Amino acid sequence: MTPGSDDIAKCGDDAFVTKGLVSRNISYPDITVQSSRTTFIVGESGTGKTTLLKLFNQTETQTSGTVLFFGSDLSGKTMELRRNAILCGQNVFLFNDTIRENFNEFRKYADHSCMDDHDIIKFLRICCAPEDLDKQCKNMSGGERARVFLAVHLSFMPRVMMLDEPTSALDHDTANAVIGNIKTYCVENGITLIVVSHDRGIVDTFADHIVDLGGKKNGR
Amino acid sequence: MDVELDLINFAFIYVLLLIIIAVMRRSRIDQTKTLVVACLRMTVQLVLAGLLLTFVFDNPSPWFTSVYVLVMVLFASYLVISKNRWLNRKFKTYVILAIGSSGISVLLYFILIVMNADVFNPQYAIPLAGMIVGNSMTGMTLGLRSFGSELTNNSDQMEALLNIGAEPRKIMNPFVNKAVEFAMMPTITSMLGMGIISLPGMMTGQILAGTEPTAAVLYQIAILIAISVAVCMTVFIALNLGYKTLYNERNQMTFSLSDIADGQKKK
Repeated sequence: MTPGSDDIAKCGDDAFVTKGLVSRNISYPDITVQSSRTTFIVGESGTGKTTLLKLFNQTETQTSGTVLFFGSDLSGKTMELRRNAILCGQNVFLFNDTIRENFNEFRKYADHSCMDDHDIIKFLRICCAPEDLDKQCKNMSGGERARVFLAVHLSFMPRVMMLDEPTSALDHDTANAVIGNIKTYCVENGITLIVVSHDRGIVDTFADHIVDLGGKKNGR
Repeated sequence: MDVELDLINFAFIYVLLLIIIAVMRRSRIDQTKTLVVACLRMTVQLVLAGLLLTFVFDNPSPWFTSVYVLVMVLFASYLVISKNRWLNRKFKTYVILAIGSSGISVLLYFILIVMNADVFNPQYAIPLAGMIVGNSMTGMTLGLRSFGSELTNNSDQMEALLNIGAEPRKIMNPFVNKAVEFAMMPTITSMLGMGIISLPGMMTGQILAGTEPTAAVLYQIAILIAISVAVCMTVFIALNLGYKTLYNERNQMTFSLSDIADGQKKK
């Protein structure tokens, strides 16, 4: 399902290691994201949190420095990299169709086979999303759409799951439940979870490790 | 049949422009100058074209015909590109190649096979090339505008799909197809109303000049099909080659959405 993932497994234990990374006039500290753990990336806005995720999946290229994914530089094999390190971005996009068709469409784009209803519901439930598979996504609220969007990404079961501000459209309790469930799922399945968030409560509750990109001193 | 226009009588057509000028005054449309300039330019350009064509017809040479057609292709390409400044250099080259190759191949087919005549006969090649290339140009402009809008309106979709490891080729394909459809539809739907709503310009001109309507109709049918094919080929070739220049070997998008938006606003 994920081409070449066996090769990668042998090469290193850390999901991402960066050295001397510079992009868009931001110099990053050297960062190590340990595999099978939950790492939160925090920092004031403008410190390059989203850009860091884009450098991780190489939808952007750094000015200088290296990014290693399980020990290898995959900047020349970006399809393989992105399918193993799925990024769920800030801008929620769903096709104008039912929830079921959204799972199918997204999976088709990444050359995955269709998923049966039982499995789709499993991922929707993890993300506290509506479970009516025939529901039209355009009729859902922003929060519901954000959760379906998360569920679609989780259904790829990548080696590394990256979430950019996943809770911005969710209320406090839902946010806690969703992130709690996702973390549990990732721990059970050995998935490395990387989350960009500025929600202190969520960070303190769920982080195994925190990468602080700085900005105003906040005691971390 | 004497269909030559008397120049003095002909001049009366310009009197009608006063109606447009009156409407503009009344509706406070500040475009009188544009209208006058446009009419002057049209008059001068067409008179020059008429003189040039007379010269070329009187001195038929494969060279004159070829150069005339080539200039048409280049000028049409220039107009398309000047309205789509966001295109990168390679994309622009594909646009020129598409307009040229589709226009010329349809033209050759038309003259050699349908008309069974000499391709270098300027009386056939030049007016036909004008209609074919002119319509390809309009189609190409529509297609590029639609493609640009698809890219700017669907940036969230492209980002999301790129982030799950979809190939840029797959992501942009639906936008290319939509743009090709958008560009072809006006030409195809115009066939529907043909003969009922509109007597097309070429046929009208031939009838005014004394051709039998039945013969004019055959020409018109042939040219409409030729135009549709040329538009279809131009847009299909240019967009299908061109969109591949919009991402690099690292599967990153290499165009800027704000450039496209700027380019389209200016138009």
